[in-house]
Amino acid sequence: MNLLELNGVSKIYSNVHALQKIDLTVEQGEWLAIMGPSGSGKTTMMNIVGCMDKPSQGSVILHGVNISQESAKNLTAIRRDKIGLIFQQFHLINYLTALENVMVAQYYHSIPDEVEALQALERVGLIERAKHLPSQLSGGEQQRVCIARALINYPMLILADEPTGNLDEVNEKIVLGILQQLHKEGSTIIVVTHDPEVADEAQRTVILEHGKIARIVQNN
Amino acid sequence: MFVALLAVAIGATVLSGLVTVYYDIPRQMGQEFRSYGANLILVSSGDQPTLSIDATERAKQYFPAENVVGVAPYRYKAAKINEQPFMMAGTDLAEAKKASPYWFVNGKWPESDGEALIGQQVADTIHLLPGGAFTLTGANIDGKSFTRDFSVSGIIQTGGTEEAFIFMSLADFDSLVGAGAFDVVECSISATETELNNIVTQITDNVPGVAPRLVKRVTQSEGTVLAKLQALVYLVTVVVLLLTMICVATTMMAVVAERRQEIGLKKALGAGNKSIINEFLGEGIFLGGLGGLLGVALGFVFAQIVSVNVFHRSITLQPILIPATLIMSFVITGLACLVPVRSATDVDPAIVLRGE
Repeated sequence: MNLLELNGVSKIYSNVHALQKIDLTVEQGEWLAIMGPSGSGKTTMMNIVGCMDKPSQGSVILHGVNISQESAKNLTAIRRDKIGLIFQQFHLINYLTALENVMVAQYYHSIPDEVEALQALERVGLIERAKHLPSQLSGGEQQRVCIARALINYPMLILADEPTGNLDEVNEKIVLGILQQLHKEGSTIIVVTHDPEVADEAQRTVILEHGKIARIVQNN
Repeated sequence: MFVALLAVAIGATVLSGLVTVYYDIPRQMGQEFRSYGANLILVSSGDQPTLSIDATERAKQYFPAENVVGVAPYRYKAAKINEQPFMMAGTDLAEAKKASPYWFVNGKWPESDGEALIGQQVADTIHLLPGGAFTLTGANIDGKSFTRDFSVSGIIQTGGTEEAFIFMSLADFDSLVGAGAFDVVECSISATETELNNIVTQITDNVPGVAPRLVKRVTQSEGTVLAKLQALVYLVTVVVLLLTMICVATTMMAVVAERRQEIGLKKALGAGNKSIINEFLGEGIFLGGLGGLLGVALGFVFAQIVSVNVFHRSITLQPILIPATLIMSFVITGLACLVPVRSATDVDPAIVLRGE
């Protein structure tokens, strides 16, 4: 069953064609990697799939809903309910503890639940660091808090933008291990990456060039 | 945020302080103006040329007792010293002292029978000094002549017609001229021109034979000065509130710019515009409340300092100013937050993916 369908999606900024007639489907439970050089349209595609932008042409169907037709208010609600975001730069709120950063996502989704937030931190191996501020955490730990925050509301789709881009090798392995675990548990994951090793972990890799799909690689 | 809090606190302080002074100015200045003398006089309106004691007492019932500074009745009669004509005046000297505090007395006020105050012109004419004596001659109301020696307790200087008079107690005056009604009653009342006009209307309507008249040069100048002072305070308050609003708005704009990424993140995590508006307005209202509370306390201190240093009187706290200052602080910060909040809702959540 397809969780996501992009049909003839184009995004045009003034005279710049950031995406050109992209057709792509992502099945429920699939792990997809998107690769490509800078300016190839990766971020634009993530913005559209993540309900933070709309295509100029074409349609995007997420879990049966054409999100390219929805209002900004509805897109916010869809993003809140169905999508978990993992960022290259973590984007933790610096005056909140790790636990509170996870609870922020709960606050905007439903009701903050400390026990559940602690369980999410436990899942990424950070239960001991729950009361620490981001400045007291290493880059890998901050990324794991970011993953816990993305998971807290049980999203249908996890969008990860260069999740290991700012991490050393040890932390990269830890984060990839968590993503593998999530995939095994049935999560649908789309990862944007420059790193072939990260892309190899996915089932398929979409290579973007000049806003078009250059090729799709089936990984072993 | 501390700057915004400081701005609100200062704004609320000035608001609370100046409004306290604004409403207290009539009371404070009213008492100051009483040093200029009577602002209301009572004369006869009937067939009789004089005011009866009874009519005077009934007219006084319409005065606000707590605001009466002094009510001095006067009787006048021509008399002579060394065959030179002068005007003698009998009055309640204690009340005259209160009603005409601007009289400068060289010497002292009369304290016993046989003592008189003489005007500077009289003193110059008959070459008298405080402690000197003179003999007053004249005719009483029955036409019989009288002669009596007086000692000069003091010489008065007013710059006005009073300097041509000889003032004595009513008892002395009555003993010479005979008991009788008053020619005029000078009243000094701490009240606005409107309040005085109301008193005039009430006396005119209810006390026959008495014609109350405002001393226009006093009441009008009082009103003019008060109106100008209040307008000045009002203007300063409005300017300070506008400056406060600009300061809070600027600070909140800076806060929004500083937290742009955080706002983008929250929106990316699913925060709607309503949540963002509530957060920033909540912060604004918190600032308004805290700043307002500080302003209430500091404003009273400020008003007290102004009052003591300018008017030499202390001020009482107006309880209504506490909620009024708080509400105004909320309104000012709320208005100041409108533009920053609007710009917060315009933040694009995609900035977190672009790494800005």
